Amino acid sequence: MTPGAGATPLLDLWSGFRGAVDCASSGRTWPADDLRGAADIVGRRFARAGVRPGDPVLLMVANTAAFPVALAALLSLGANPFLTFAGAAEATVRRLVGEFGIRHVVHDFAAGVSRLPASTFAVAAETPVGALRLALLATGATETALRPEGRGVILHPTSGTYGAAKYCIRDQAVAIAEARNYVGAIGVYDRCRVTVTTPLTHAFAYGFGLVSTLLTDGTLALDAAFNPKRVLREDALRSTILALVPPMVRRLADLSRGSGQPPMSPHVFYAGAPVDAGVAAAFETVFGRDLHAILGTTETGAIATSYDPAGRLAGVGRPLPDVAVTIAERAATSGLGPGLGELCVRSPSLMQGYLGAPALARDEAFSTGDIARVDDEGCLHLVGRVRDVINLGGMKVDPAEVEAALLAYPGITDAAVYPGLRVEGEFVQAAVVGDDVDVTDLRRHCLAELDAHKVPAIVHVLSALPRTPSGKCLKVQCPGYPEVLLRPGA
Amino acid sequence: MLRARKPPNDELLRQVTAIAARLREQLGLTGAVRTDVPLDEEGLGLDSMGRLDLFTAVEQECGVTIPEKYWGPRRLRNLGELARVAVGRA
Repeated sequence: MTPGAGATPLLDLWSGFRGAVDCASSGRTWPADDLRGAADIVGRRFARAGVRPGDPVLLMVANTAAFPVALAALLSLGANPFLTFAGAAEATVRRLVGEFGIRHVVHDFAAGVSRLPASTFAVAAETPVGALRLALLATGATETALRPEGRGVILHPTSGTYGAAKYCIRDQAVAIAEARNYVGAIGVYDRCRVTVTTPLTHAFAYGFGLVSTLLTDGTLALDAAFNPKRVLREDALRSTILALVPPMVRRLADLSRGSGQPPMSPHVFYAGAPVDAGVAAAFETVFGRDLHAILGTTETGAIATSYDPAGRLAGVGRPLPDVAVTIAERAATSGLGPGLGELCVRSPSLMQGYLGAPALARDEAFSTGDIARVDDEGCLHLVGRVRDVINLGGMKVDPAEVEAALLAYPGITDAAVYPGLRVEGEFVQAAVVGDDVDVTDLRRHCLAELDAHKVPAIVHVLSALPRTPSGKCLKVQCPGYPEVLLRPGA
Repeated sequence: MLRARKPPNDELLRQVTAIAARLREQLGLTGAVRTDVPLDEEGLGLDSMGRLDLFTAVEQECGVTIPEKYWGPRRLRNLGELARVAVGRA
């Protein structure tokens, strides 16, 4: 897959940016000129340490000013940043390094977030960004055939709608197209201060928060990790836009229950997964604010929003101005109900393709894997997913990866991983077969092998997994499989 | 600022331990709750959201406030420390 080379619209935006970044963890506000100055210094040091145009570089930095600084530095060198969760497990990082031949990792060792031991890789360069330490780590990896071509392209992680973990190639123009769509549809970005509570490596936070703020000269408010008390004390008073994912919606409502009507940003959005209707109602009662949905995927960028100046729209709202949706009939959705089918999207913010896979045609419709319908008002309603990828508030989990980690534990002979469901959304649970399984130790083992959010929250120990005569595991018959997720073809 | 009286530390620790046991049970975790092990996956088994649920439940059920700085990740080592840093509700 060969993305377009040469165009650097995101860097052009960065060069003209007049806004700022607020860092809650340090209490410092970074005006645009300071950010650019830091990026220049970081870029020069990275270049001296061997970062070259076209290099794949893992960008593992928490939500501080160091993230946009490091991103701009890498793009200015023509490197291709792989956006990667700053708290990724060492095993995850090593796997990515090997799979993509990544020679450098940019990491900040953020306190309370980083899980990468300092001794994992050699430090090739180190530079302070304010009080932060930004390190360029040399992995010693050799190049692989599986690497992005082109320069200054951004790779977003996703488990993909259909299974194995993938990176989406989304060039700089795609990011700008998505931000323009947000700004055009939502229209509340003027002199905005956007509080982003999810990692900037997540496509929603990246597009809705970072790039849209760059586009509108706004202020981006960041915290290295979600701290609901800080959001309630500070950001709710100062910000104009608050970006959440469903688990945070519930925690903010729970924390504020019974405390009168605390202040809240005028415009509150969530994305990543549906919010339970009861949780949404509780949030809106506690804070007196409408909660607006954003529908999008890493592959397509933003698709729709329920925001409307005249009031909240039904479902996940209408498609954004430059997005065209169709509902395609599929075998898995037939018989579910009238008008139901798989949501397919055409958009200028569509990725160029998955790394290592054929490029998508620009006018190609992307099949999202979501089952949806469109009502008489043109609003989209999601009713489920075609396949069983586990969705944790927007963070997708490939069951096969978790099953492999479980099977690596001594004594485990069989394993199945599938979603559970609680009021704020899905979670990971597992059924395993083995003798005298110590679940606590098993979860500790998983934590060493997997990112923390992929570790099963509940583990059922069975004498055998339910299977078809042909040997296919019937996850729907495993303990705790949510009935609401059962669907034809699952 | 006037603050409500904080329960004695041993009483608060007993309440906090009971809440942690309840949350662990909801997660399918077994075993005794120790007050001197880390809150996270390597100790009590609470992930980042589970830790927030613990703090919220402690505030709402025990009538105390956990200062903002402790709500960040890995700022509190264990339940004993949680009981110590909690202050009477303002």
